[in-house]
Formats: sequence, structure tokens, C-alpha cells
Amino acid sequence: MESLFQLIFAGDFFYSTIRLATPLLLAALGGLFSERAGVLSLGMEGMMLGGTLLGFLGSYFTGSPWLGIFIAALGGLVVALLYALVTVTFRADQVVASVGINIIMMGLTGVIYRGIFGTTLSQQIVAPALKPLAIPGLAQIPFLGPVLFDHLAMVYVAFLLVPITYHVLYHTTWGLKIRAVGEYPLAADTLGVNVFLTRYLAILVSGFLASAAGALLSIGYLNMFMENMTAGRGFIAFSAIIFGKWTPLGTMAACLVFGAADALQLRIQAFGLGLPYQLAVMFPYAITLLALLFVGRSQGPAAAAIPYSKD
Amino acid sequence: MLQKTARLWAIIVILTLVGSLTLAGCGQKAEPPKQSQPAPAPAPQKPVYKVALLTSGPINDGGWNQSAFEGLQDIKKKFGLEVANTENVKQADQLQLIRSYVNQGYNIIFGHGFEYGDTLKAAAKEFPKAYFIQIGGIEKNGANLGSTVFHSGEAGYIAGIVLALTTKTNKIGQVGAMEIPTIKADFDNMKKAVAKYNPKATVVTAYTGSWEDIGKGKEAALAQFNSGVDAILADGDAVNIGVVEAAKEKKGLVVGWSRDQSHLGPEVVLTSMIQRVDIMMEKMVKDVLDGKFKGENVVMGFADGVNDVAPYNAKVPKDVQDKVKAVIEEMKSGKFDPNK
Repeated sequence: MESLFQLIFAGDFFYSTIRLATPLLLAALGGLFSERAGVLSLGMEGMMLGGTLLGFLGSYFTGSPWLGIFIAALGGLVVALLYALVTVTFRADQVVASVGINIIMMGLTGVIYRGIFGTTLSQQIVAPALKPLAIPGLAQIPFLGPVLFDHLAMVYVAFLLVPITYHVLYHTTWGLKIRAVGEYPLAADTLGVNVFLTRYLAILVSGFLASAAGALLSIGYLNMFMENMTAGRGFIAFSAIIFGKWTPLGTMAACLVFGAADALQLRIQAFGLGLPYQLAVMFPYAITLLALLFVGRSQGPAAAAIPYSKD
Repeated sequence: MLQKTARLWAIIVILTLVGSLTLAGCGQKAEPPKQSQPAPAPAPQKPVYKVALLTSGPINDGGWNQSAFEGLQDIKKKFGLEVANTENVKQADQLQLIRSYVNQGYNIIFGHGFEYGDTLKAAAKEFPKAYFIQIGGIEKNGANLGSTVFHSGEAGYIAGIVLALTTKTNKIGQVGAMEIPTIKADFDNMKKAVAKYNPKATVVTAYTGSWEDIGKGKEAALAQFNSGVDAILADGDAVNIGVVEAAKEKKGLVVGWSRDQSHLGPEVVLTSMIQRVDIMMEKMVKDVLDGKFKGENVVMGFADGVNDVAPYNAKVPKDVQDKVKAVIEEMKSGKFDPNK
């Protein structure tokens, strides 16, 4: 038991926690914009999946993983635009539209990948991947340095986006508009806020970041694409928003809890305690359920998932 | 007017979506053949066989599912039969899919994996004229339901010998996708081999809970490497790719599974336990064509050429290779059974 304790409080555990939390955080922060503007962000899974492929292709064909991430993020805008068109302009049911996006991206990414590289490959196709960026000076701090300051640059970006998101949502006019539109679009409209434009922009932010998060999976942590490689992370990011009570700090905390729980369960398994592995695999989700009991009621924006109509 | 244009646009968008969805859904599926295909004139009484394959994962996973897909292509070439396949089949859709295949005239249906057992049993009752074959399971009923499976745990035992004799830290890992009986048998026998060939070594096991989540496979392997493990047996379809990636990062060693996985990382992949699914499928189809199908559980292993060991990399010493060869010979001759 003692050495399990050591295993958990080793720097490696915290490092792994941050690494596992980052793709969730990046997507969830984007989703937060969309959610706060009153548009369901359940389509993040599909947007992320699109990002995994576009990031991979971008890196493969340009040779630069950074361009790959950028191309993925731009592609995310296209998917987001489609989602915004369907949900904001045509006021389609947002749950149905989200599920639609997720299923389409699942099929589309597979078809495109196979169209380019063929169906059965004898070799796994690899693309250049991002390299960890140790921050000079800070990375030399004992214990904390390797844990916090020896990550991929995208990891720092994701965590820097937390205060930025906080600032934008609570201290800028645009943020005020987003929140107003999410709470009471009719009132916002009466005061001259363009409800449609605000929601469009919020969804675009969501698509941009979710897709970048997907690219982080394919060419950040790995160097390849595999169909359905997001494996539900978009949904976890979605629940992190709710778990975090629709706030940037809460969302970050929720993502870290998910990351820690996942890192922990893999270590418990690696330690070979003889627990049924199903228990270990469900651990992150059990933690979430338990945590929800303690954080109390989570209240979302009042106009969430309700299409706005001027009529 | 605005309303009307909006609605028109909505319809266009929806149609595009549906269009791309159908396109995506069709993927690699073969063209559904016409219902009434005239049998060749000289042998009108001979039944026409058409083969369908269902896999739970994608056919380009570089492992278990890809082997079956390639086996299906071989059947098409060798026997000149019409073939079709559907991938990414969800458990709940299995039976419905089988029904539609049978209704299209497909009469040899492969369910590729342990998870098809119950469905094939139900389908075999519903369609007594078609043949149902499970790969990687033990279903049988003597009439039209049979199965073929690897000699349980033989390959796992061999992998155990390789790992037991190459580990330096005396800590060996296993990373699997899910604890299904076939994987468990191999993992258990691997432990037996380690206990015999390197009693000082310990074995730890991790499952990812997913066959496709490469990222999690990498994380699981990293966690093991960081806890002192230096050699891992990877048995989880696409998850293996993640394990090899982790090994490259941590300078660890991996024994691959299902196909020769050395191309993923020639310097870290010691060898792979090859499973020739194509030979199994071929034998089952040939039995049906020859009228010899007995609805049994056909167990195949090293002796049938179905299991094999892929070429070693330079890190496996010659004496280890010879040891493995000797044990395989004993298995082939029936002198040694790891399950006893």
C-alpha cells in the first residue's frame, strides 16, 4: 500500500493528470462560450473528431504540426458554422443537431482518411508531432518544474485560456452580451444586442477550440489518426462544463478531476492490486457522480438549448 | 418570402447532411448484389454461396479486424465467392444486420469475435438454411452454427517466454482492451510462462476499456513503464499502437499481437504473436463448400499454422529464440499443453 501511495504522489502522476486534462479543458472552454450564449455544446465530440483528422492531415502534408493545429482549428470553424446555421438560423432542436454533427463527423473522418490513404494499410501512417517545450528557468524547479513546465506548448495555451475566458465572459461587453443572450435573449434583443450574431460567434469559438483540442490528441500526444480516436472525450468535456457550474474556473477544476481520476485508475491497474479492471475504468465517472452530490445543484443559463425567434 | 427561402435552405442543408451520412455509412461495404442472381447454367442444383463478415471495429485497425477483412478478400479470390462486410457493428445492431444479409442471399455469415456468440445462436435458429460461424468463440450446434478459435493461450504462453527472458527489471506488463475470455486465457498463460522461466519477475495487467482509444493505450503503458515495468505484451487491437508509442518514449519493449507489428516501432517491438485469421476463415468456408461443415468448435493453433511468431528484432537473444522454437515444437506435437 505504501508504494501505491508513492506512485500516486510521484511527479509522474501529476504530470499525467495535466496531460489527460488538457484536451478536455481546451474543448470545454470553447463549449463554455456556446453554452453561456444559450446553445447546447453537445456537438463537441464531432468537432473534436474533425480536429483529430484535420490536424493530422495538416501536419502530414505541410510537415508542421503547428500548421496542423491551425488548419484543424479553421476546419472547426466550418463545422461550427454548419451547427450555428442549423440551430440558430433554422432553430432546429439542438440535441438532434448535436447528435447529427457527432455522427456525421464520425463517418466523414473515416471516409476521408481511407479515401486518401487507402483502407487496409500495412503501415501506420505517421505525421510530425508537437514536441514538449520546457520553459527555461521554471522547468528547473525541483518537483514542480518537470510537473508543470515541461509540457507541449498547447498545454500552456489551454491553461492560459482559463483566465482569458474568465476575463472575456465577465469583464468585457462581448462577454456581457453572451451571458445576456444565454439568460434572457428577448431582453437582450430589446436592448439592441444582436442575438443571432452573438450566438454565431460563441459557437464559432467553441468549434475553433474543440477542433484544436482534437488535433492535440492526434498530433500532440500521438503522431497518427485512428477512427473514433476521441473515444467520448467531447462528452466528458461537456459534462465538465456542467460539473464546473458553467464557470471557467469550475470547468478547469472539473477537467483536472477527470484527468486525475483517469491517471489514478491507470496507476491502480499498473500497480496490480487485483481489483476488477471494470471498477478502475469506471472510476473517473464514479468520481464525477460523487462530486456532483457534493457540489450541489448546478444551474445552467436560463435560455440554454432554446432557439430564439423574433416572432 | 424570407421564411420560404429559409425553409429551402434548411432542406438543402439537411439533404447534404443525409447525403454525406449515407456516404459515410456505406464506407467500404460492397455493393448489395441483386436479389435473383441466375446460377451458372451447367450446375443449376449447386447452391450459390455468398459470404458476409461482421466486425465490431474498423477494418483498418492494423490488428484483429484487419486480419479478418484480409481473410475475406482471400476467400473472394480463392473460391470466387461474392463477399461483403460491415464494420463498426454495435452489439444491438448485430441481429438486424445479419437478417438483412440473409435476406440479400448471403448464406455464410462470420461474426468476428467473442461478442457475436449470442446473436449467432439466435440467427442460426431463425435461418436454418444459412451457415453461421463465430471466430474467436465456442458456439456450436451441429447443424448450421459453428465456430473456430485459437488454441487457447498458446500464443500467450509463448509471448510470456519471450518477455520473461528479455526483461531487465523483472517487471512485465500486460495491456489489453477488455477482459474477454480469449484475452484472459492468453494473459493467464503468459503469467504461467513468466512464473516458469523467470520466477523473480512479476506481472501487472491493465485494460483500457476501449479497442480504439490509442491515447489511453499510451497512457496505460506509460503508467506501467513509470512503475518499473520494462516489457509489455499488448493485446488490444488499435490500443497496441499507443503502447508502442509509449515504449518508444520510455525505451521500453513490446510484444505485439495479431499481426506483425514491428513496423510501428522496429527498435521496441521484440516480436509479435501472429494470428492467421485468414487460414481459419478459409478452412471454415472450405468445409461448407465441400459439404463437410459439422457445426463444431474448431480449435487451431501453432500446429495448423494459425499461430506463428513474427520475425524477432535484435534485442531477443538467439538462445531465447531457440527456447521458443523448442516449446512451439512441443505444442505442435501435442507433448505440451499450456492449459494443463
